Amino acid sequence: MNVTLGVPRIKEIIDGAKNIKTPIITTVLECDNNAMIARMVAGRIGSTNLGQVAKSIGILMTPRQACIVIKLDMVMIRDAQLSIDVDVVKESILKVPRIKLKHENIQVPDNETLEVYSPDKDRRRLYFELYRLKSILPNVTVRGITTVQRVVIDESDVKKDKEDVQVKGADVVGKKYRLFAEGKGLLAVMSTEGVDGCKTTSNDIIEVQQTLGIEAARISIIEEIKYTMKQHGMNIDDRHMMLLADAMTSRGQVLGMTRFGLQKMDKSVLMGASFERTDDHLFNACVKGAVDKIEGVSESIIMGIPMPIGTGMFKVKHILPTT
Amino acid sequence: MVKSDLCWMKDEKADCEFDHGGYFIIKGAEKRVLSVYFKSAEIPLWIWFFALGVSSDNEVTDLIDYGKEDASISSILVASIRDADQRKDNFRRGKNALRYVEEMIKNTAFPPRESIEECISMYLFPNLRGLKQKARFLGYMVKSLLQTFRGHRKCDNREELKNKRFHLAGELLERELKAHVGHAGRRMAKALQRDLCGDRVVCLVEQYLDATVVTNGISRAFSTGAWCHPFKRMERMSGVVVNVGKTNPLQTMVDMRKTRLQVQYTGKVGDARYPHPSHWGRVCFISTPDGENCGLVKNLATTALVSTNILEPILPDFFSSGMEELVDDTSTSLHGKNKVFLNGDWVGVCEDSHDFVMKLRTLRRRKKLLHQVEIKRDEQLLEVRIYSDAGRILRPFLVVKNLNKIKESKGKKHTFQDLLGNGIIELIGAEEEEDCCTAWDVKHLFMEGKSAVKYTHCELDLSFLLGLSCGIIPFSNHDNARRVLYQSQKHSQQAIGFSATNPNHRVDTLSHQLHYPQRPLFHTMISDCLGQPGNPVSHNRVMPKPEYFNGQNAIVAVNVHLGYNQEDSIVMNRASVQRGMFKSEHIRSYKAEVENKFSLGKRRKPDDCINFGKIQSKFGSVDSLDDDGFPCIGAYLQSGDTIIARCSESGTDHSIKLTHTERGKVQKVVLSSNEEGKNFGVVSLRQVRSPCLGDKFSSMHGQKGVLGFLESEENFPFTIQGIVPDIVINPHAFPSRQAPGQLLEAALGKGIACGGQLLETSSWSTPRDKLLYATPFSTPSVDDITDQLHRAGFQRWGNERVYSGQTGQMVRQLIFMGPTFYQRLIHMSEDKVKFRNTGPVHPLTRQPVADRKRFGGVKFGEMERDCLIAHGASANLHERLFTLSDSSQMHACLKCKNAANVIDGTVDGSRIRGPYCRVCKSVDDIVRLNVPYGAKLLCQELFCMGISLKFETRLC
Repeated sequence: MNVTLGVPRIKEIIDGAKNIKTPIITTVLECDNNAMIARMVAGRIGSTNLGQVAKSIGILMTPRQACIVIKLDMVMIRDAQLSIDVDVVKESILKVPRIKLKHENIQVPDNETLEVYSPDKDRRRLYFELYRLKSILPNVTVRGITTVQRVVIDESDVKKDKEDVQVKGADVVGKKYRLFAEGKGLLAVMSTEGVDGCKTTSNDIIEVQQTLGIEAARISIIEEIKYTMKQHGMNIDDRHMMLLADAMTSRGQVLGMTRFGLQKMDKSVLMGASFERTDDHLFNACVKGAVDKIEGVSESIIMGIPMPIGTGMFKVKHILPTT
Repeated sequence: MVKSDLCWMKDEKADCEFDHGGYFIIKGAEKRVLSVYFKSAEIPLWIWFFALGVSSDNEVTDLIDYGKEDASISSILVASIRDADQRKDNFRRGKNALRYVEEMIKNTAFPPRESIEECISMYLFPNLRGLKQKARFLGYMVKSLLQTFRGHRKCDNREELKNKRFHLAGELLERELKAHVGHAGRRMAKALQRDLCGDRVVCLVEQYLDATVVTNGISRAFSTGAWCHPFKRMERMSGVVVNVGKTNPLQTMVDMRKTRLQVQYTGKVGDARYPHPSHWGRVCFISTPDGENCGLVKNLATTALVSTNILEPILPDFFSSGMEELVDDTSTSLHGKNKVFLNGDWVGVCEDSHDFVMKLRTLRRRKKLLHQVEIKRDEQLLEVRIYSDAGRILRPFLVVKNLNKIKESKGKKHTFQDLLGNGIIELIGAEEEEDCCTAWDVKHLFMEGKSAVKYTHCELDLSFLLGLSCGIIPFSNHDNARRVLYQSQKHSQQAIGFSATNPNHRVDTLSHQLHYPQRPLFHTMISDCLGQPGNPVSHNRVMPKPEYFNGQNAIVAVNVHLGYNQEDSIVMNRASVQRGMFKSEHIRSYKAEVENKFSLGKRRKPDDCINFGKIQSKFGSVDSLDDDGFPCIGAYLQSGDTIIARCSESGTDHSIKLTHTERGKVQKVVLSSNEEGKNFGVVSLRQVRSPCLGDKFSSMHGQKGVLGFLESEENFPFTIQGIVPDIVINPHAFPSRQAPGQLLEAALGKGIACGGQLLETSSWSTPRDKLLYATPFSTPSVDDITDQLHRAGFQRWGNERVYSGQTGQMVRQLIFMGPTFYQRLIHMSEDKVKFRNTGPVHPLTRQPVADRKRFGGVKFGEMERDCLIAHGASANLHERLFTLSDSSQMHACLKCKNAANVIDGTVDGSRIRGPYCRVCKSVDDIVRLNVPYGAKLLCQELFCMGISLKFETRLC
C-alpha cells in the first residue's frame, strides 16, 4: 500500500484538498475470518475491466458480417469469485457513455461469447469504427465501483488471548481480513453486501464529510494527523489537533487553510487582506460596507492596539475621578 | 580573452602566477562565460514520402523496412495512410503531394521565401543531396520511431551526456558576434539605401559601417549576461556571464570549470538534476550548489576535456577504411549493411562494421585522425556513429593494448601529449565509452587467474571521477556526501588563502590574504597535479603548491572544553592566535570618478565640474587627507573620515565618507583614467584581523564552526610531550554528521608529522617511502594508519594521555588529538555585527531601515510574531511592533468617523492651524489616535484607491 505520508500528507489534510494522492477506504468485513468471502467482497468492490476478464477480443470479418467477438474467460472469473456473466457484461458495455451502441447491436450467442456490431451503417467507415470500439472495450468496467481502482486484501494475525492458556500450539489463533480499496466512493463501498458499513472509513476527509457529516470529518482530521505523525514516531497532544480541526470545521464545511478557505472562514477584512489577495478582500469589503471589529491578532497589529490574547485578554476597569 | 593567442599578456610574466587566463575583462570587471549546454506546419508522414518522389505505398514500407509481420505496426501504418488520405485526396498522383506540402508551409507564420523544391533541398536533411536519399533517411527515422514504440530500441535518454553538448566560450561568442554583425550589416544597408535614393552624396563604404553597434552589443551582452538563444531568435538566455571569483586561486580554477544547464522553468525539471551514470569521470558527482541550482550547475571532473570544432574534413579517411557511398535511389536494398552516421548525418554504408571501426581507431591512436573523433559501433541497430562536433566531453583512458610501450621509454619524462601521441592514452567520449571494457585500476589487469573479461581500457585513477575541489579533500570517500558537498562548494570557495602573487598591481574591491598559509601534511593524487609545470620535483613527486590550500595545520583535540564549544563552535588557543595563527588581512578599495575637463565641452556649470581636492567639510574629518584630496599611504582612517575628497568649483562637497563599519590603514592610492576618458581614483584600505569571537572556521570535511572562546594556553589539557591543542572541537560534531574523514586525516597527519617509516603496500607496486597519500577511493587502510602511529610510538588510534591544565591531574579518559588542516572562512563577525538604538527610518513607512551600513534594525518577521503569540506575550508584541517601530498619531473626526488631516492654511476666510475634518468642514470633535504610521499610510493609500476607512473610537 502506498499511502502518502509526511509533509505532503499534512499539507493535503490542512489544505482540505479535494483530490488527494492516495485515497484509501478501509473496509471492515462482516465476516472477517474467511479468505474466500474476503475475495468475493473484494471482487464486488474493486472495478474489473473487460480486458481483465476476457480471453480474447477480436475483430471478425466475414463476407456477410463484421463484428467484434468477445470471449470471456469463465475459469478465471470463477477463481476470482467474481459473479460476472455475459448479461452483466452486455449491460455494462451499454452503460458506457458515448459509446452509441444499442441493445440490438450486442448479441449473445452463448454463455461465453458476445458479438458487438457497429451501429454505423456506412460501409466505408465500418473498419475504423470496429477498431475504435476495439480500443474502447478493454477498459469498460464490468463489475465493481468505478471510482475504486483496486482492492487489496489485508491479512493480519489474531493473537490468542492471554487468558486462554488452554489452547496449545501456535500463538496465532486465526487470521483477520480487511480490505483496502484505493479510490473514492465511500458511500458505495459502505453499502456493498458483506461490508460492515458502520466501521468502514476513508482517509479522504472531504469524502467523509460528504458521506458521514461534519462532525465525522472533524474526528477524521484529528485521526489522520495523528496517524501521519505516528508513522514518523511523533506524538502530539490531542488538543493541538483538536484546535486545528475545530477551526477548519466550525463553519459547517471543511475549509482548508488556504486563501480560499480563509476567505470563507473569516469575518475580518484586514486579516484576510494581510494574508493573500489583498485587493480582492478590500474591494469586496468595500462593496458590502463591511465592518471590521478589531478582534484578531493581525488587525490589532495593523491598528496598533494591544492584541487580545494571552496577557492582553483582560483589561482593567478604571474608575475615573469625577472632577 | 586573457592569455589567449591574441592577448598581449600571453607571454608576460609580470602578472600573478596563478592566473591561467580564460576570462574576459569587461569595463574593469573580470567576467567569465559559463558553458551552456542543451537539448512549426504539421504534415502527414505519408504525404512527405510521396513529395520526395517515392512512387508507391509498397516502396515506402520497404524503405521503412520494419515490422511488416507485426500486427500493431501494420495497423499504425494503415492508420497513417488513412490519415494522409483524409487530409488530401489523391496525393499519390503526380505532383499533388508536393503542392500540398507547399500549401501547408506557406500558411505558417513565417513562410520561407524560397520555392518548395529549394526549401526541401536546403532545410530537410541538408547534407543529403538527392531526394531519394532523403526519402531513405525519412524511412530510417520512421523505423527508429516504430522500434522505440515497440520497445526494441530504447528511447534516447535526455539526461545522458552522450546526447548533450557543451557550448564553450568560443561558440557562444561566435553566435553573439554573428547576431550583432548581422545587425550592423542591416543598418549599413539601410544607410546606404537612404543615401542612394535620396540623391545625396554616396560616401565611402567604411563610413557606413558602424562598428560601435557590434562593440556595444557585445559589451552589453557581457555586462548583463543575457545571450542569444541558439534556436529561438527573439529570446535571450540569461545568466551566461558571471564574475570570476577571486577569493583564492582554487576558487578561480573551479569557477572556470563550471557549467550550467539552461532550462526555462526551474520547476518541473525533475530528472535533469539527477546524476546519470554517463557523468562518471566527466562531471563531478558531488560538487553542485545547494539550492535552486542543485544539479543544474555542474563542475567538470578533473581530467575531463571538452571537444572543440575541427576544421579538417575526415570523410576521406572513412572512404579509405572501407565505407561505401550512399546511393541516391530507393530501390537497392540496404538490408544487412551497416549505416554510417557522421554527427547525425547519414554519409554512407559499410559491410563489415567491426573491421571499419578497428581501422578508424588505429588511425586515431596513431594521430592520423584527430583525437576528438568518437567512434561507436552499435551492433543491435547495425549502425556506426561517428562524432566530431564540438561540445562533447572526453576523458582519458589507458589503452591496455599499448601499455607495453610505457616500459620502453622509462626514465624519460613524459608529457600528456606524448602519451596521447603514442597511443598509450586515448580520449573517449560518452558514446564510445559504452563499447569499452574498462578496468578499475592497473592492478586488476595483472591479477593472477584473470576473469573471463578481456579489458580494453583502464582508468587512470579512481579519484579522477571527482572534480577539483572534491579531489583535494582527504579521505572524502569516508565522509557523508553532504559534508563533501559543503566543503567543495562552499568552504573551499570561502576560505581565505593566497589571493594573488601580484597584489600591488591589482585593485580589487575586496581581497583577503592569509598571513601564514601552510601546505597540509597529506597529499592526494589530484593535489599533486595542481600547480604549474616546471615545479621543482623531489623524489619523483611534485610537491603541491602550498598556495592552493587555503589554511593552516592546527593541532585539533576532540574534547569538550568548559562547554564553550557546543553546537558547532570551537575553542582556540589564545597563545597560538597571538603567535599569528590564522591572522589575515583584508583589503577593501574605494573608487571615485571625476569628470574630465574636456569631455563636457561647453556645457559646464560651476556645479558640474567636480574635481579631487580637499575642502573643509562638515560631513567628515579631512585630517588625514593630502591637498590633492587623497589620503597619505599609511594613514589610519575610520568611520566618519572622508576617504576621497571631491568638490565642485562652486564649493559643494561630493566626498566619499566611510560608514560606521569600515576602517583601515591606507595601503595604496591609484589614479588613472578609464576607457571613457574619465579620471578616477582608487584608495585601498587594509585591515589586519586576528581571529576573534564569532569568526567562522572549517575543517576540510564540511565541519564548520564559529570561534566560541579564546582560551589561554595554560588552561588547556597538555600531553606528556607538552603539546597543547590549538583548536578544540566538540565530539558531538561527528556522530550525526558522519565525517570520519576528519579523524582519519588527523591520525594520518600525526603519523606523517612524526616521520613515518618505510612501508610496503601490496606486493607488486613500488613501495612508498611514507604513507602520505589520502586520495579518495584508494586510501591507505585504517590498519596502515594505525600501524604507522604505533611504530612512531603513539597510541594506535590517535588518542593521547593528557593532563588537565587547570589542576595538573591526569585525565582518566584518553583524548583524540592530531594535526588537521583548518581553513578560515571569510565570514567574520566584524563584518556582520549589527546594532541600533534609534536610527534612520524609511521615509515612506517611517519604519527602521534594514541595512547594516545605515544603522538598520533586525527584522522581526511573521514567524517571530507567531512565537510571541504562542507565548501569550501580548504586551511584548505590542511594544516590539508598535512602540519601538513606527508609533505615531493620527486624527479622526468623531462625527463622520473619517480620518482628519492636519492643515495650516485658510479655509473659508478663517485661518486654521491644526486638525481639520474635510468632510464635516469643522475643527470640533476631533480626537487623536495612537496608530502605527503604517496604518495611517494604509488609510491614505486606500483613500487614493477609492476605499475609505472609518474609525470608531473609544476613550482609553
